[in-house]
Amino acid sequence: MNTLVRNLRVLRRMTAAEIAQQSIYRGAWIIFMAANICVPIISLLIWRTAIANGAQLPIDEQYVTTYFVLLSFVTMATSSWLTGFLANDIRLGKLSRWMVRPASLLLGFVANNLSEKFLKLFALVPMIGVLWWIFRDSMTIPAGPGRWAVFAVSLVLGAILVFTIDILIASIAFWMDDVSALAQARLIIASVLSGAVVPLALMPDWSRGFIDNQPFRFTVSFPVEIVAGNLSGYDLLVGLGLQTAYVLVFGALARLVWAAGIRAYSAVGA
Amino acid sequence: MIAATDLTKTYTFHKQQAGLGGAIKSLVRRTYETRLAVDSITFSINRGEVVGLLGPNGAGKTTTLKMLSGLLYVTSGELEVLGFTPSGRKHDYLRRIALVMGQKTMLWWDVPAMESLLLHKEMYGLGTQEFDRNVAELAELLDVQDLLNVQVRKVSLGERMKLELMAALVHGPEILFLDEPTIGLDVVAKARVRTFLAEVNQRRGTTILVTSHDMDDIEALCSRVMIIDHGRLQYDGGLDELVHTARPRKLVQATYATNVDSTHLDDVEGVTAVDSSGQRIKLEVDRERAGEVLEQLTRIGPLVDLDVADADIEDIMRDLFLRRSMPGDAS
Amino acid sequence: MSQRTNGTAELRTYAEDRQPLDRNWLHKQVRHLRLWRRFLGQAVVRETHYRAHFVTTLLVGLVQLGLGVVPILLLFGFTQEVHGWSRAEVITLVGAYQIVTGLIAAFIAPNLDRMTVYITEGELDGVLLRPVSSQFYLTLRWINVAELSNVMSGIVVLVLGLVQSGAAPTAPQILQALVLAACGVVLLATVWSAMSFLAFWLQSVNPIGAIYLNLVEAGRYPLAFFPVAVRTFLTFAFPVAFATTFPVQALAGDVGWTPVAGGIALSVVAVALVRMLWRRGLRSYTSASS
Repeated sequence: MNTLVRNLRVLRRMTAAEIAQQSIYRGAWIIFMAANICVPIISLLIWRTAIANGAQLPIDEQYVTTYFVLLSFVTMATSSWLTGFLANDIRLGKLSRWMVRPASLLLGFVANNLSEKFLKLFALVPMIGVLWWIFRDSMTIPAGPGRWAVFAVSLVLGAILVFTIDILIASIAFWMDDVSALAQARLIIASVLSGAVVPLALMPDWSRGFIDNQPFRFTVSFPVEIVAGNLSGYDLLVGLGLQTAYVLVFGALARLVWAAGIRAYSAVGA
Repeated sequence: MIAATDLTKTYTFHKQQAGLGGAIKSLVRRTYETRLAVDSITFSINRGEVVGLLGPNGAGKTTTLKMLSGLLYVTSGELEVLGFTPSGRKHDYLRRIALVMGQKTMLWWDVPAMESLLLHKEMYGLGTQEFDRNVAELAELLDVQDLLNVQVRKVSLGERMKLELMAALVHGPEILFLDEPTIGLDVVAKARVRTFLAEVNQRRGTTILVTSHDMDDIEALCSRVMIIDHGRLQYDGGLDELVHTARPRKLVQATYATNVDSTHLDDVEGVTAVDSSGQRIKLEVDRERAGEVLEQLTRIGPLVDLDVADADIEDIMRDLFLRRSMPGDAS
Repeated sequence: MSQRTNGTAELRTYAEDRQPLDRNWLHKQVRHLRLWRRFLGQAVVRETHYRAHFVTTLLVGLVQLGLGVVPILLLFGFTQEVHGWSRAEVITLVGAYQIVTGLIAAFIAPNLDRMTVYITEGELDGVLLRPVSSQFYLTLRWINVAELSNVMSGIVVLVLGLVQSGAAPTAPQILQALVLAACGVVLLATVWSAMSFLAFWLQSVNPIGAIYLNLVEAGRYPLAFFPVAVRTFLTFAFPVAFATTFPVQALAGDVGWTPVAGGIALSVVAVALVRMLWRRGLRSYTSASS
């Protein structure tokens, strides 16, 4: 327990330091977020036009609008960029300096992750606010605070899931020379399967079974569906359960692979 | 061919404080600072001269070179080179000059030097015959024939500088500006560069203006020296004069057959820094007193060897920049 | 002032009066063209040394092409046509998009990505010393030959789309399409250049490049798929319309010569504006850099 409390304290301090350091570049974040919001806006306009033109989609205009307005927020909130850096550290043998520190190696990455998201939040939320206001007539807003609470929980779980997958892929660098191709492949697969390109609800029927249950759905799409979609209470429960399960499974997997990697790493010597 | 009158350069920049508060403040109200980099200097250089530009870091040497090569606008004053105003950056002007910066390489990294040279050929509109002839001549002078087809990043620092010089001269410029060309090079490479530059000046009459911290460079190449300090031109004249007038001292080293006592020499007028151990005495003496002191030295003991030299140029420079004693000043 | 006396009798100097570097304007353009040809030659040679890079670029390009087609395939699973555009016609458009973005990625992108470095690291000095147009040099020096593979794949997709949609463009129509596409390339290049030249005043323009790369994705879809207000933006402010929609419409025979004239006029204005911006930026750089 003591270790956990200590780690949390260290995390808080590290995050604060990172925020202070990066706040100099806030201007850059505003522009990056503006860039990130472009493609969802384009998709939003396209699909609304399709619907207005009479296309028979399995989802309505409300769903589509709410989905794409929230998409960039959820994508940002669950994002992680750990893979490249960690894989690089492993490859270049830089882990040794981390292993000497008292705080866990990952704490540093978590601090960095949280602090960047904090700053991106300030840049992104106003933009989404504007978007929301423009399309306010088509936005679905869940009634009770209950849904929002579930949304928040799912968001956190999604972020953890992405983080653990990152660690998992980066850990392969203990055995493989160049993980970048693998990381790229993952990004591409994830972009389609997580609903970042197109809402999963629009995927063809024959793929439904697979699409609804694969892990990437729970990184971005599921949290958005909670707000945008018409998920029944049952759907929510099943979804959350599945999401938690994936977090645990990938977490355990990442832990195992990481530990094995560290053992192999220490055996060879840095 | 180079004429500068009251040449001045000031930089304006705004200061930003670190941190969140500072960043916000800078958005609302900016505080500007000006820095006077070059302060009203006047000089002229004739064709074929080799001039050294000396000064401590931040004195304004590089800024002056950049103004001469058109990279910087002049704040005030007049500057005319080869009949052109450099900051106009007319193509006909640029093809007549060359600039080499010791710390920055202008060759392309991943390709052999020859490729860079071919690009120069197109950029400067050189005919094939002229180009081939220049390349052959320069490659022979610099002894880099084997390096032309090697990737630049695989070449050692000294060799790279040679290639840079080659690239700078292949279009036959009338003026060559050099900014610390021998920095970071070993002794052998430095010597080769100096020899080469002297040859270029002799063979082609190329006017050379070189900045350097290295006194050996200046001594080997330049007959004329301009000293810039704090943006002002402090000295402009022959190198020999500078040596003689800036620090009128001689270094004397006397070696004796037996141990000698030199304590009384400390009190002799005009003598400073006596360093003696046993059979050897080393001292510095004002030029005017040198004769008397030498006479005294012969009387101290059985003299075996006597060495008299002019003060080291490095010392002169150090004196100039620290003590601010200029030729002609009473020290 | 002592001068070096020359012992050699034969003094070969380059101080004699020379012919001007460029006899006239045309000669200057030719000299720059020859320089560009050498840029291209060297880039091709460089590419042959890094064959892995070519393969990677090709693969990544194909994957991005595939990903870009997914929404369209899904969309046309739910409907036959949108605003008069059939699936085959939209596929043609995707091909056009691939060609235009491939060209820009090959000839412009490698340079604009370096803009920040040029300015902050002072590499611009090396360029300003040369008797060549600095804007030309900075915009066109580096060429990513591998990206031309995307132009190839784009042509394949374009032809497929044309065949599927049963379009049989005549020679004048093809000419229209080519001119419009060329205008599109020039317009997009100038918009991106303008954004990058802001590096003269801002510290870093990498985030701004991200905006360009994301906005240009709008070119994957016909102009008609967007609301009217956005269409104006995509025609005059960020002219992807000229890059993809108009050329494809020309191939289908739906475009008169007015948009072509308009495109050329717009391109001329854009190039002039960007040149002014460059001059301003250069002025600021050469006053300030130390």
